[in-house]
Amino acid sequence: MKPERLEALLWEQIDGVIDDADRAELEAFLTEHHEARELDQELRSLADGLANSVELDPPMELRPRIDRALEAARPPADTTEATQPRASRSATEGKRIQVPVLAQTKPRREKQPTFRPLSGIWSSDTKETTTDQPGDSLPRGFVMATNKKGIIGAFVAVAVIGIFAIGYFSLNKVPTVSEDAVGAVGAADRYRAEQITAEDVQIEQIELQAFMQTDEFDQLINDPETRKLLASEAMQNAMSNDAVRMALANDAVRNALANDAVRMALANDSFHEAWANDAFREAMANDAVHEAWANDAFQEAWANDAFHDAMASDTFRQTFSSDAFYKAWANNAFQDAMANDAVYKAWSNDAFRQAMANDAFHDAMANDAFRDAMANDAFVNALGHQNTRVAMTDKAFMDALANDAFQKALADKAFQNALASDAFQQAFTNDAFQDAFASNAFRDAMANDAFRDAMANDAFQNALANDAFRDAMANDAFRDALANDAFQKAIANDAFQEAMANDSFHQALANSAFREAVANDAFQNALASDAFQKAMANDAFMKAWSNEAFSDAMAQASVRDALANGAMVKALESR
Amino acid sequence: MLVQACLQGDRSAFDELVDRYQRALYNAAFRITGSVDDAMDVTQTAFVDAYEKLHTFDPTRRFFSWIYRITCNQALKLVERRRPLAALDADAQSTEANPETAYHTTEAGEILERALLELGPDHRIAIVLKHILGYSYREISELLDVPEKTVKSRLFTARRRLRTVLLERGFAP
Repeated sequence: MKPERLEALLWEQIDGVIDDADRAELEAFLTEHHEARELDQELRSLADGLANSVELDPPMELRPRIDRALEAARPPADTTEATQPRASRSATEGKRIQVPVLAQTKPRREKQPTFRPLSGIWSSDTKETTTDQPGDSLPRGFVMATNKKGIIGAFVAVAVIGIFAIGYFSLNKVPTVSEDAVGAVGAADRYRAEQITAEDVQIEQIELQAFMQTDEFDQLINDPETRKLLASEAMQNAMSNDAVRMALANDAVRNALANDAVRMALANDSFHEAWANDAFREAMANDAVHEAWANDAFQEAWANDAFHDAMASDTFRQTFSSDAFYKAWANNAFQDAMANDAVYKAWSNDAFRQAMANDAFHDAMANDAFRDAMANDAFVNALGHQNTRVAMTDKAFMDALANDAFQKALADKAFQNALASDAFQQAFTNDAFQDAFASNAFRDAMANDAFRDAMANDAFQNALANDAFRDAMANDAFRDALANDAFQKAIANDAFQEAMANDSFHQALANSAFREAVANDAFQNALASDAFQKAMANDAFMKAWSNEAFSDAMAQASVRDALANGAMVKALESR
Repeated sequence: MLVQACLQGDRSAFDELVDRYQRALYNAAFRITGSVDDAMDVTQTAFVDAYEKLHTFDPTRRFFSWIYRITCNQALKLVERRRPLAALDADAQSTEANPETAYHTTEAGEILERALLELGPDHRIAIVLKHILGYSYREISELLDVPEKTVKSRLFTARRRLRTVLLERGFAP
């Protein structure tokens, strides 16, 4: 009995899962072999030692900590937006910026004031009231809806416009308007001519006045980050752009601006640069991104350093302006993924950003399976791995992303686990593996349950770590074999997996006769047989492949046909 | 029943779930992270996550399996985040452990615990679930959401690795 099999059977016996036939075989072997009995004793001692580990008492302070955290937590099934800052859920989440949100900032989608660009400023189709911020510099003639149902959105709009008005007219120089922009905002010129005073605007709306006297409004106006943002040339230039103004006319964007974290993000240099970028501004005018602004995960992303760094990258901005990216934000799985540290980390990586800017990646984001995969820990962990990110820049990987079989595989837990494994990651860096990855045969194989299960199996992953195995994967005959039912069935078999973990198997894979044989129907039929699988797990049989005469013989069609013959398999069984 | 009561607004029902499972979850978290502080953080976060997402829990499954997976995932994420910063230092981990516990009272127990900390998280968790917490292959498969076959092969590799580590330390079980 091979040492691996002996050990496996001993553990099965200790675990109480051994079947009768194996127990009989094991007992007979133990009777005859002293070393086996010693190993049995050793394994039992190890199991006893582990089982006798004393269970720890949780520290006394744990329970009060949990109670305090639960007090601050959102009640289950409460799907309303939090209007108060959430307490830090744990020390592990401490580095995320908590997002205090102004009261009543939830967008009201019904009967909102219908802002439209008018002479460079917004007006309402409904009853108009001239407004102002007391003692400050709101633009003269600013008109605001007084529709009661739209009043909350209007409050925020006033706040935002107030902020931008301050930045636009008071803090710094008058912004330069490009030639192209003049037509669109030409009528706004009048606002640059003079400083607005409180007398210029009358406030008749009591609620509006009340809001403007609140701490929240004061906070918005006096927030240094906001002032820094507004004082920036990039932002002022951006304000001269239709797309930016259209973005600011959107409730979701304005509401998001009431969020501290978002304003801090907007004050970030990378964002200033981004505002100067056409693709980014176009993105800001996009309906899908407006919707995304209302999303917590999206707002949190803006507060994240890695996201800022990513913004400085052209490739990321390209992604940012893609419809697929915004549509993906509407998806819960994608939101979960985007709130994940590993994804943030990936964003700060060039290779990942490059991948994200790729059309195939965008297409993949539109796919449910891919988005679900993105929310999966194993896949996200894989993204956190440099090798995955490098692999993602590879054409083969990107092509695979667009491939149905791969997408199906991505939705499979076994494959996700495999992706996150070290051996698989290592394989990604290997040319032969990437070739295999790009091959239809390999992708077909990935669509197969048994193959995916095998991929999640340590033995298969160990095999992946082996050069000969990976080289074999670059071989058409072997890849054809991978896509073959009989081979896939064999891969799911313990004996075959043992064989795959075996050096002799790896050596045999380096042998062209073996690879050809593997791709041969007769051989594959034989592979489906238990006896043959056991033979494959046998060292002597596998070593025979390195024998010239044997491999020459196996290169003969007639010999391989003989493999499919019951008698030959029986002979193998008796080995 | 407790989950249902909690979803209907009864917070005390969730308190009972905390009473019932905090010990097991803390132990699992400690075995994965190897640190008392981290284990407390993970346990706390797992309960809060479970509470906030209780409406997403599938009542046809066991609550413990669900929260156990949350705990394991949190613990694994923590270990993964720290992995690039510093390899697990068995000495540091053991001194950080709660001295009031009986866990390190025997030399053999301490050696075994240190050896466990040298395994990768996947392997460590497989051994902890099987040998320390006493789960069956099927239960581990459900907890980790991997096929039973994977559990089996992972355990095989993990036990081998553990034996090798123990032998390298001159300790034959």
